[in-house]
Amino acid sequence: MRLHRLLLTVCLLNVPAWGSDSVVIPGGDFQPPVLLDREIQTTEVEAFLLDAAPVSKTAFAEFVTTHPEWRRSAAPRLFRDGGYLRNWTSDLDPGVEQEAQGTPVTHVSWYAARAFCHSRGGHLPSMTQWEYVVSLLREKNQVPDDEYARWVFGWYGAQRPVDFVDRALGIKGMLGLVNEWIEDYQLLLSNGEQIDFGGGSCGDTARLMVKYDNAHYASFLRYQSRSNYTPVTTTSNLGFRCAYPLEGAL
Amino acid sequence: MITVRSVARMTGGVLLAMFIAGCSQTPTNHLKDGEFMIDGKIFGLAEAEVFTEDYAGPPVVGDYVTALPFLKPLDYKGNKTHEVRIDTFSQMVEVAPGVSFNAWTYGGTVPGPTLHVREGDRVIFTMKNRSDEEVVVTDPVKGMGPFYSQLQGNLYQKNRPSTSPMPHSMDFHSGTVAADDKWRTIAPGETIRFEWVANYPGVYMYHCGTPSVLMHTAMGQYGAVVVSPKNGFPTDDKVDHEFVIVQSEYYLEKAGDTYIYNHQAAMARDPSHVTFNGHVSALIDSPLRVKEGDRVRLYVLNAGPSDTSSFHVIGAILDRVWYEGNVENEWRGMQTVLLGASNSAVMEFIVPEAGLYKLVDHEFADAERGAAGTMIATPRDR
Repeated sequence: MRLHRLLLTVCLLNVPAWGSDSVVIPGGDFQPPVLLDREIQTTEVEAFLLDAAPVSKTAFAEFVTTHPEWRRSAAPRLFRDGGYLRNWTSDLDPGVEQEAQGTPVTHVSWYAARAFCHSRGGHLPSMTQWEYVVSLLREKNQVPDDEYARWVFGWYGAQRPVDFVDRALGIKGMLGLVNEWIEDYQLLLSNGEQIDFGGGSCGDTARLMVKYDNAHYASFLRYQSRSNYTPVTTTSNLGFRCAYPLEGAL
Repeated sequence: MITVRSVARMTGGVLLAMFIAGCSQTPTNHLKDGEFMIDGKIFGLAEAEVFTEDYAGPPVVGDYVTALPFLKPLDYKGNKTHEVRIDTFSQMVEVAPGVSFNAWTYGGTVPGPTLHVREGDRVIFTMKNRSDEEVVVTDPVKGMGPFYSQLQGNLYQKNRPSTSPMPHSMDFHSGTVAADDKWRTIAPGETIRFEWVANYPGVYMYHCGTPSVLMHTAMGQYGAVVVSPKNGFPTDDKVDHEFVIVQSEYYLEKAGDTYIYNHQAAMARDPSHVTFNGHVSALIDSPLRVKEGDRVRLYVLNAGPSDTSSFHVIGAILDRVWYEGNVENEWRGMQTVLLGASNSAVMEFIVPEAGLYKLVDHEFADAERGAAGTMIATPRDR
């Protein structure tokens, strides 16, 4: 099984996918840093395709051109908050002339991000897929744990950009460029007899941690922070990228 | 719904409260639909509302909301309903000479504003998560309350706007509510509104309860609420000065030209700075000014997030101490008051003679990291 997946991966490297350039994420085992199910400490992840970079403003402008229901003036408030595509100069113009091509789109809701990915034949990556890629980036680029933790805390605390180039998979962003929507972004944690949708109560984290080192706390901060978004939330640092089933690319 | 039984119970409670207060209070704080009263205290408040609004006004609103170290005297009788807004947003703040960081704040300062109410008062609290906006707190605000005039009169944190979109929440220790409702987390752009009743007197911490709570509090999201006892303290008529002091730790490391939060240091309880009122020089560059013979009252809160404070005034003995700010918890002749994280005390002392007095955390590893302040006493009229 592993050999088959490896061969498949090698064959598919650099195969172009829909939309922006995508890369093959090889399958493998993932040890989640947060125990969402205390009985599952390892999850097997199938290979999949992932956008190499977050969706750009330019790409999103093309999307709203062909999908007028997602233009700022038309998208129902049920599916986005008041900040949706804030700072765009018009319904179709993100005003990126002065910015580098590929600037990630932000101020998009989860609904809008999903619609974009579906229009490309893909979907938002699952929490497991997205976090698995981060673990691969750290492993394959030999990022020291404390350095990774410093990146994450620096990004969330002060929006400090991360000076990191992935030389293994060709992935851009994911750490310290923009935050990214994922399909199942809310943590569903048991809290006594109730389900906590907020990602853990005040100070109530130790029971969910696999290890109590700096890197695990950093990852958990990401899990918790995005869990407190609502599907209509838009912010200046919240974008997304799409994932695609590998079979569909064959 | 209010049942006949609960009406009887609450009526009895109100009458009892009036009797205890010697009818000196004006009980304006009535039960609202669905609330109930036990031992004269109001519970069962309405659910919090979360909504979006196009609010871009002053991020701090309230007649009894002040900047440290000030406390607005309660110039009304009986109880009152306070409409208070404290928005949460990022701000570059200086905590020591040359050391600034992108703080997560309530109202633009670390610690946040101080709210003063009376036991039995009701607070209608509104907070917008404006962490995705650049909010300026240094420009004049039309009709601004005491907070802005005091802040702008002494910008010792050199406050500058910044953005750092994050989910946040507000947890008032002074409130008795279900935390999963009132203290719930809101996303950037959302506003939460809820009520709480000051059922118990004390000096209380408020803070962000969004995980990681350690990070959110260490990033600056905390402040003080003073709930004065409904019948006051026995020395109210003798007090010449009131000041609020909030002790807290920062865990910062240099990163390029600025400083960022160091989680490893926070977990190891190894602060880079320990401060009174958010800056190592807050009470040194602007010392507390009194006269010899004055009775000084300090409202001291240790916000932590993780360390203790052994509060001491060098050269004075704390004549009276009300632990946690509750008039029932009286101590006499204290040299030092030990405060755990989120503990507080009201402390009074008589200024012995003209001179310079240091206020310190007598855990000197903390004092050496900034937990020190100055009080200057001038001669009294003889």
